[in-house]
Amino acid sequence: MALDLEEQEQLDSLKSWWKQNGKWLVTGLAVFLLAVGGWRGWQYWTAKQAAEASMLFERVMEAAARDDTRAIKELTAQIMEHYPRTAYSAPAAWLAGRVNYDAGDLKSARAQFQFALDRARDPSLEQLARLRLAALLLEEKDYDGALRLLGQAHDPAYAGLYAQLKGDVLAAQDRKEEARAAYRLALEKLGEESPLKSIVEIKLDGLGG
Amino acid sequence: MLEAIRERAQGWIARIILGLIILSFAIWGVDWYFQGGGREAAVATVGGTEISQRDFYDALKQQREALGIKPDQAGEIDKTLRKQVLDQMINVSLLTDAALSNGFAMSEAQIKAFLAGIEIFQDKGQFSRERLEAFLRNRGLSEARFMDMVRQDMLLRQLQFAYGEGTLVPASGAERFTRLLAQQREVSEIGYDRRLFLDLVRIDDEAVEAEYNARRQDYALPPQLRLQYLVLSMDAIKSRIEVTEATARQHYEANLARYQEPESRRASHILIKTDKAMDDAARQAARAQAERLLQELRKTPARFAELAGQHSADPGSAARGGDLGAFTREMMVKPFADAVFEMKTGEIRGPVETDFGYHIIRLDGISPGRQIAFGAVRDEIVDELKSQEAARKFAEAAERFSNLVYEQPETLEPAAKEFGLKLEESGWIARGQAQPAFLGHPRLMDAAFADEALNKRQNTEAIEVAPNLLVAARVLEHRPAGIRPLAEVAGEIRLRLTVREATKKAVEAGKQALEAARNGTVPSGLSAPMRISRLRPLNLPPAAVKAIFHADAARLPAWVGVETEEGYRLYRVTGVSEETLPPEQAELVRRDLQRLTAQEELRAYLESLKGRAKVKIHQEALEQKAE
Repeated sequence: MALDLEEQEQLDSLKSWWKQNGKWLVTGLAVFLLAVGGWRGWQYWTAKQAAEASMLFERVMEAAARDDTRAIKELTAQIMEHYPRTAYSAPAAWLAGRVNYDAGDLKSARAQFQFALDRARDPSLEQLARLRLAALLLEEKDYDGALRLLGQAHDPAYAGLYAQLKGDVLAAQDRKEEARAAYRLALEKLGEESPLKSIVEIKLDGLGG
Repeated sequence: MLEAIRERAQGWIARIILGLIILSFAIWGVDWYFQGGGREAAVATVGGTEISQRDFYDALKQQREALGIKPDQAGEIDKTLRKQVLDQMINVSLLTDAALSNGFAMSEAQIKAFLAGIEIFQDKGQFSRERLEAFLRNRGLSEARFMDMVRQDMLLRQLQFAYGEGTLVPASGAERFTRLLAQQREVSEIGYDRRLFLDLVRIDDEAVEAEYNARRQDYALPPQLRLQYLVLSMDAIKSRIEVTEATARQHYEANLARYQEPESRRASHILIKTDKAMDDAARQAARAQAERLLQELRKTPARFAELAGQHSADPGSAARGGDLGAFTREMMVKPFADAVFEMKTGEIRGPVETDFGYHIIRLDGISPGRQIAFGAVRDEIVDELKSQEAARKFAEAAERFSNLVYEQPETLEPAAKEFGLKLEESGWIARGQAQPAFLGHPRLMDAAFADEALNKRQNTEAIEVAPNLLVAARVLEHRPAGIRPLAEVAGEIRLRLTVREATKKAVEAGKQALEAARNGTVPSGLSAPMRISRLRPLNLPPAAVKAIFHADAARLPAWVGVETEEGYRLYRVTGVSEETLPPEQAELVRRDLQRLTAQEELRAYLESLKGRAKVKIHQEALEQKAE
């Protein structure tokens, strides 16, 4: 009898606890399930996007092997438009930019190189994207824009390439003394066995040492 | 491991400019990457990935085999190799990490499609599971692991293309550079050759001695020995064996079948070619053609030579009306020989199928085999019997020889006498410099330099320096390690010093002339002017070309000088002319620039990844021998 009473009491306290907290528990559980589901769904969606973009990118590689510029343009446009959040969008933009540049369409090329810079994932890649965009700006004679990009912080690994391009820009502006300094820096920073070394040397000599 | 696949894929890989950097190492590393580490000692940790010791040694072994380096060769080469292998595994790891974390993806379907396109996995142009499974069994690979390997390979290839193809070389820069390559400069030269200064140099004895003292280690001599030695060879044993006429004849009688000249036959044929890759229809067609020819020949056998000339795919015989000449049974493939050796002279038979195709054969003649007389093979038999006997006796003789030189350690005479050997004496020999070469065998050298032989002047044990070649030796004379005496090397030292001094004088004279020329005194003996460009430097040394184009074109004439192997060269630059390259050459230059820049960019990207990831090399695990 005493036992029953105790049980009854426990039951009552449980009931009142449920009344107070039950709502929160259910809500919490629901939120948790939704979050897990959403996370899973997002993962699934990302993987699906990546797989589809990868497939398209393989076709880009095949088109490049055939020198089929029309196919390259079409396929890279598809990747940039439908899969902008994948790893393939920046490379697609570069390739499209290169093709447009070769065809003399600097304006499209610039937009595409800018797109690649915006989409570059890791910091190492972003610095590469900046370098390539700067090369295009030099072609557009936007010297200040190019120098601004090249003036941004970069890893020591890129120092040689950045300095070389800076030299090219300054040489194009006929700022010989500064160009020489940039080329000298490039010679210092490029790796010992870098094939670009002898090229920079020739450029430097071309400016009278 | 993926070489076979690689060959197939080369068509489009070759288009990818940056092949150099990744391709050489993408083959490795593959199995460790997806498996992760943790269970074994790691040689390096790259970000969150460990490179295990076992995988490192697998890759090292593979690379050693590829280069033909033996592990015991070790030394400097191996040290460099270890570093290269580890560097490349780290690079693969970094790039794979970058590919995965950036979101590159490679689905099962893509991998399967790729494998289906590879010839070795195809049967009659279709993907064949059996072929794939046979390939895996052959290499002892599980399918899952192989798929991982291919997956990594494909990912890296995508990454390489994705990041390597975006390189842009500005046309204006390329053009400026091309102009610099095309630029021509007009120069005259004058050489200051060291040969002209040899007579002016006097090297006194003190200088020679000083040089000798300064570089004594160059004249070091290793410890040397003169040996007395005995050689017990199979030939020595053989020469002491007698074979009687009767024994030889008995051997001949017992082996009559061996001493026969085999039957040879002469035939002509017409070949209709097939090969393994042909499908059944093509094979049928070839057979039908052969049948038709056969019908034709049955009607008019005389046309054999003519038809062979027209239809036979065996170019050598076709030109001779199908005639193959005379041959024995062993000289031909089996189905062909079987047919020919069944036929009657003049018979035409076919089609006989071999690996080469379908043959129609005509037998032209038979020279039957015959017995060879004993006299003609007697020497051969005697020699063979002696060899057999010597081989039987050698082991026993070797043991006896070893005992003799051991039991009487103060002399080699008894062994020489018993086996009728001549006691030989060597000249001065050292480790690695022995004449005859077999005396340099490491075990013999060790024995000769050991206390018993060197100081107590006892016999060395009998040592097998080559198969069936035993040598025992004793030391006659010993010269400890030392230095070649001055008198012996003074001549070569003097010559070297003279040349060095003459070169110095030549350079000095050249530099003075340069100085004078810059101040207005033109040296005499300048060559006629020549025009050079960086692309066509004639025969000027590279350093000279560099200096000439480095000279300031605004102030001419300009004078430059360079030191060379032979002394000094002085150049006068009198003119600069801007030229243009033909468009197709300019295009080549632009492509080179593009390729080199792309290479540098990918290298920089990799270096940048390396700088940002935590790469830790565990030196102790790397140096441990885990093989």
